[in-house]
Amino acid sequence: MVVSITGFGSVWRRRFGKNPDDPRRFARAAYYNTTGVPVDGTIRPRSKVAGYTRFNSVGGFNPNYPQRIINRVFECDEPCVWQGQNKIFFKYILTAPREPDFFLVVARQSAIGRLHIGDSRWKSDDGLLISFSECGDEQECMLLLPADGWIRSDVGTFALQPLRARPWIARLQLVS
Amino acid sequence: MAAAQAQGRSQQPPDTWYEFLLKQFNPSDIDYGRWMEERRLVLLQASAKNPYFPYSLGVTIWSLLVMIAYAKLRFDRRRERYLTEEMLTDLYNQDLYSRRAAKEAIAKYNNHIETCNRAIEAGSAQAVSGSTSENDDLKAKLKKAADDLRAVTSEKEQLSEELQRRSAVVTDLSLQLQALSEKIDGKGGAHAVGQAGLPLPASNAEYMKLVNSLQEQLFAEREKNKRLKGA
Repeated sequence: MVVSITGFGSVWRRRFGKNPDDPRRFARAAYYNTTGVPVDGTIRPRSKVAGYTRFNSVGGFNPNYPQRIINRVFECDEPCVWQGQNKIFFKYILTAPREPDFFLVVARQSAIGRLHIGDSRWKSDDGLLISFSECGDEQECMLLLPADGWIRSDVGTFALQPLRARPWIARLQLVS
Repeated sequence: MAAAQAQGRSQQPPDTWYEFLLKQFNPSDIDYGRWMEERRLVLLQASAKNPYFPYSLGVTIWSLLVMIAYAKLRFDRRRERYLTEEMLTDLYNQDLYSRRAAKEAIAKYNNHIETCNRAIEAGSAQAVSGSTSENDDLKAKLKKAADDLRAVTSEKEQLSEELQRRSAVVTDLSLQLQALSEKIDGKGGAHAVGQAGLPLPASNAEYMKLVNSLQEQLFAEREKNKRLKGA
């Protein structure tokens, strides 16, 4: 499965190798990204639907510059449920970008309005909810959407529209 | 004669008051302007127009620069020496402190070993009665903490079991709900039948979709419960 990244959740975690004598302990680190919302000035997970994405250092992810993988295309494992949480593993960056099967989209209430998860037709059927956080008036939602997939909020329907010239870059655009 | 005198008096008019004042300061009527000009010319000939003058000036400037550079180097050197002295002082103090701490630690260790040796030699616990009571206290605290931990662990296990049971019930109900809705929609499953009489997903993607749908339903139900409780 090939996935292009359009944004990240607000919460990052990392796991290093457990062997302190391993010289490549930090080079083989794993980084986890999930959604979070601000609570009293601090970002907290407050997961209502728990899930995360995983990146490996050896797969081309640089934790010092996470923004560099925005609009990059990854080879991924199929999403699965691991220990009660949705998980998607981004294995490595493709050297040459190509049209992805899905886009990793992160939607926030501040950007698109309030989502009503669980309502009928709040998102397109082919979309997959990875993680959802909510606290008070704050929401953050991470999902996999195919090209031209959509989500619906209080504001209206947002469709994920890829660029024609570069089909691995897509943006959520208000269509109705 | 008197006429001639009268004529001469008329040719030389009398001095004005400021001429009179100037004559008080310069009675011999010396031309200071000319004198100044002469002195200036002499000075010019002796200095700027003298071929030795540029050489002297250059040497003077060079000497000044050398003196400034020497002074700067001297100040820098002195600052370096001060810094080095401070560092050496710190190191020396650290060394003293370390030695004192090491001596204290060694003395403490020796005392402890001495106490242990005495206790072993005495062959009874009386020699260390004070520490035995402390040990008893600590043991009692440890036992209490272990009991608390055991109680908390068992409570946690009970809660996890209950949570799992409830999750299973919710999942079962959700599956039944989906089965009913699919039956109503006329999409009755053709493949395998699960515990609740449900069509099981054929692939991982379908399974993920089903899980996703159940998660959304669960979230919606929780929201509904929250609203009802709030009402």
